[in-house]
Amino acid sequence: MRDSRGFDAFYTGTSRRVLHQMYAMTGNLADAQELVQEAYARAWQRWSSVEAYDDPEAWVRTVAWRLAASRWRKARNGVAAMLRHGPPSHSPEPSIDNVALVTALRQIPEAQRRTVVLHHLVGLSVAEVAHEMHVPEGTVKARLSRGRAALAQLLTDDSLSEESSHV
Amino acid sequence: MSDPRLPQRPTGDDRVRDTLTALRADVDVVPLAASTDVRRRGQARSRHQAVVALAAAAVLVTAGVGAALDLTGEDSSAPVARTPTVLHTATPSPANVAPLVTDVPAGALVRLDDLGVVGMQKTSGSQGVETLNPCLLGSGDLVSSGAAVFGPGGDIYASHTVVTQSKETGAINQLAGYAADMDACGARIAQQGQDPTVTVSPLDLTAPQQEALGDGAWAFRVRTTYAGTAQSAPTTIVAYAVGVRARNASGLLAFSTKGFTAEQAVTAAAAARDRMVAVYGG
Repeated sequence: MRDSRGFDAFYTGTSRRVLHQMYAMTGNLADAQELVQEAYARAWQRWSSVEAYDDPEAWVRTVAWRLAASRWRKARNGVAAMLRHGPPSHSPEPSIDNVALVTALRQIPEAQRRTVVLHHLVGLSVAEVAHEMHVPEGTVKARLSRGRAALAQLLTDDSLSEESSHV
Repeated sequence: MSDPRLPQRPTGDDRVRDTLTALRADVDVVPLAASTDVRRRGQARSRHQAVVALAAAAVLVTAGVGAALDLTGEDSSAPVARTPTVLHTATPSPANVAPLVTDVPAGALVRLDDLGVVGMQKTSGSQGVETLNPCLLGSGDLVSSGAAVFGPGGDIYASHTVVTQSKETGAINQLAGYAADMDACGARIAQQGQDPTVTVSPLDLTAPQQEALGDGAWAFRVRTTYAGTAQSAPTTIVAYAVGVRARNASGLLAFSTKGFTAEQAVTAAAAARDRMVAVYGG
């Protein structure tokens, strides 16, 4: 018998945080919302196992990420457009302040973006990121360095172009 | 050496962390689904997977278009280790799936030649219904067995889901219940105050159409509009939903307006009902 109260508490306590992470990863609130709901639905399917894990939130986060990656692959094949018609319950626009950031995040490679989010937003150490992504620590460090540099460049370019437009 | 009285210039790490944290402002205003809805979705998935695992999936490819389409995808719900490590393809085990609702023979389901379209058919579940029609989402008993038909471009054209009951009266009541649910769908979704906006309107069936569809059959036009985002324009999907019944089996069909007119949808639903009658009786 699955513990619905335990699941509800887990969902309430963690889902907004995972949504935040998926938003940073995908750059799209509606997509992030759908991915998070689907990942938690899958967690409930096997909750008796997932709740016993050391870190059930990491399980959900990984499933959500894999879903996102899978959809990107399908989208590239031009087939999954129909899946995008799924029912996100709400998809407000990002605030004006965050548009530049979201745009910048979407421009850096997926692997760098995920590494940056896991390290800087989720707060995992380099070793933990390496473990979660199944890559050597050196790769994580390199991706962090390149990701930070790319983001800084993109955001600086944005700021500069904005400033120059006001001249 | 820097002057400790001066404000510290943020490091690169701090700047990245701060900018990522700033996204929280957008996230905080997004309503999340209730946990009960998430659990219901998980239960529906379990039933769907059980059907996929147990039914003999029949994939019919015509005109060679199916080969170019990757409709199988990857099951992203594969088991993930305690601290995620190696990922595997999931196979639902009897221990963690809900009981199978029903087992519908492929012969009872709509076929490409009923629809007169060229495309690809997948007999596996009701995902197509969900995609075309949000009014049928959340009804766990709908996730049973069915067929989805995809057009040449990979878009879903039609779907057919069948649910069987032990008695004829059960199917009669179920079909009537579905009609009532459909009729109230727009108001129900509006009450939730969330995307999408749904307008449901009944189709006026002619006497011959009603006869072809059988007793208690109904048809609706469902217009669904999803709000746009900064990255995407608003999307509207229009579909026809038709309910038919063979003896103890109720069938739900959805047709995209991209592939069908209302008249074609009703004709195709009648053909699908004939298949059901051949299996379950009239």
